[in-house]
Amino acid sequence: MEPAASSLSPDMIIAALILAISYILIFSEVIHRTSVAIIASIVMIIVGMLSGFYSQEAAMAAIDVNTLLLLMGMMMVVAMLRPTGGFEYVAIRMARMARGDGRLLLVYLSLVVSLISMVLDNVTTIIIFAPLTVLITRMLHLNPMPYLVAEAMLSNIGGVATLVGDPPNIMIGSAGGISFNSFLLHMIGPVLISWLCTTAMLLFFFRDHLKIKVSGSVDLDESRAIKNYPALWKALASLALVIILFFIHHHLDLYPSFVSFIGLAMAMALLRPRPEDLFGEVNWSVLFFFAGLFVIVGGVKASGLLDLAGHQLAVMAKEPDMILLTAISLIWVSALLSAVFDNIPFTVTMIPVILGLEGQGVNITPLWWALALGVGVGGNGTHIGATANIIAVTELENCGLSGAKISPTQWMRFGLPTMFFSLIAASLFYAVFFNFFL
Amino acid sequence: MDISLLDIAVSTGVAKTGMTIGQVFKECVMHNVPGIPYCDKNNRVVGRISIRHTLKISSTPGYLVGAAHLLGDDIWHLSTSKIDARSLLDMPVEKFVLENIATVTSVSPIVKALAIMEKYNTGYVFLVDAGIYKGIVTRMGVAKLMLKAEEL
Repeated sequence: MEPAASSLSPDMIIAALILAISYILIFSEVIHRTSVAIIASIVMIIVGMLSGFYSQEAAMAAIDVNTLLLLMGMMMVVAMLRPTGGFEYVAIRMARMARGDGRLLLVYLSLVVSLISMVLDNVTTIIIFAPLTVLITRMLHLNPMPYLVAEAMLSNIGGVATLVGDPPNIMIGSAGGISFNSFLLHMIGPVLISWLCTTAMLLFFFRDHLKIKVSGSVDLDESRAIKNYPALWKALASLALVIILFFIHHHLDLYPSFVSFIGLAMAMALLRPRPEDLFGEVNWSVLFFFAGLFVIVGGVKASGLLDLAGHQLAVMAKEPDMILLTAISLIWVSALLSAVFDNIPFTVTMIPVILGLEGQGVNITPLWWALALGVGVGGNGTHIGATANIIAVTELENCGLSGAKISPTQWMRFGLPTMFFSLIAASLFYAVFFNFFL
Repeated sequence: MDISLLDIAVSTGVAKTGMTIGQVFKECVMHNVPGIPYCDKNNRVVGRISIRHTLKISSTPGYLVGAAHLLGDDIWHLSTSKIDARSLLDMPVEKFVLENIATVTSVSPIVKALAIMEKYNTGYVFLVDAGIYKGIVTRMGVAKLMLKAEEL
């Protein structure tokens, strides 16, 4: 590796400007974020080629194909599972198990959503569970707001636990060469602590809503939820194969993306979906957004700017006594930024910075966990901190019930304390068991 | 079938600013049509009021539609979700205007009217000549015409 430049060069300034303008446009939502990512990536390549710091080949190499294919594969597996009605069945069963106890209902629904979010995309999970939750709470004469907020927040936290639970994790795992088992083993502790703290905080904040004596009953027939039992079993068998392979993929030398495609191939063979329909379910906009970001950040890295930034960070992180402080700082900076901005651009930018530290003699392993924890838990602070939050807020707006709507300020009133409390708990866990994260 | 759409168009009144949903529903029920045009002060068609759309946004929230196949019969309390019938009928039409309008002219062939209904997933299309509303063509009207032609 070439030694990092000690001062800003014109190439770095140009690349930084393109990055800054594109991120401002992405965060301000003036133009759709995918359009911004594609336009800015093309600008970065052209400018980089003219200035001589970037090339088409380098741009292609900057795209993390493993991340994109893993996301695509899982999207298609979920697309085949979703219409079977399995999610609806589980939601109704949970509502019955709560036996009219508002607090138990919140815990059960959130627990299921969190567990599903550990292996499937939590946005899809919330899209399915949110309208059902509104219906169930309406039947029980309960305000749906606490339930949707809890599902969104706890699904965000659940997703942090695994390599495939959250797009930032997929990127971190892919860049750091982290296995599914290692990710789960390291993250389950802080995630469990954060989950319990968040649940306790939400039960406290919403105590007035939840202690109301439930008078209605859940008049929903779960036996009609599953539209096609053979299809459900086939889709579940494919998903089970994916999960089993995730646990052993590092022993078999299989990329996580390849594992998802093995499950996808099995589901396609068993369910025989129309490829046109299946590909229509892929969120291409998200995939191209990520690809664009990889190219943009690849250009900034090629300009040498990230190495320069990493060099400054390395001075601090290289000291064995300072690595814990660096990691804790990373958790909090990531969390605070992720509470306000989309956590994907931040993750994509931080990954090469952290990778660059490795070449400067820093043990980067604890920084991967810190980054995953920070960007994952930080999203709960505001209603725009995570896509699941936005879906919950939108569903509450659209359900037309007075008292169910939640304003951004209201979200922050319990989102920020919940985020801080769970981050403090996770940071303490991380610090106490720091040797485990090294 | 060499017949003008004017032959099967149902002539109805139109919705205008200041009218209520109740008045629009009365007009639709009287002529057995699923919707009527919404016209500006110069009588130009600028939108439509549809019974289906009005009931959808006023009384059928998305969470009920998504789980319709799971619903039991003991859900009476959910029917008053947004607004009751009386307040809906008293509401001004402006809140329910749909801006997308499917139109044909009196010289359009029936097959064109059917194709437009299919494309826009609707059961009716407005017959408009030079911006002025002449009537509404429904699938039911086309079916009646076909039966009539067979009798002749």
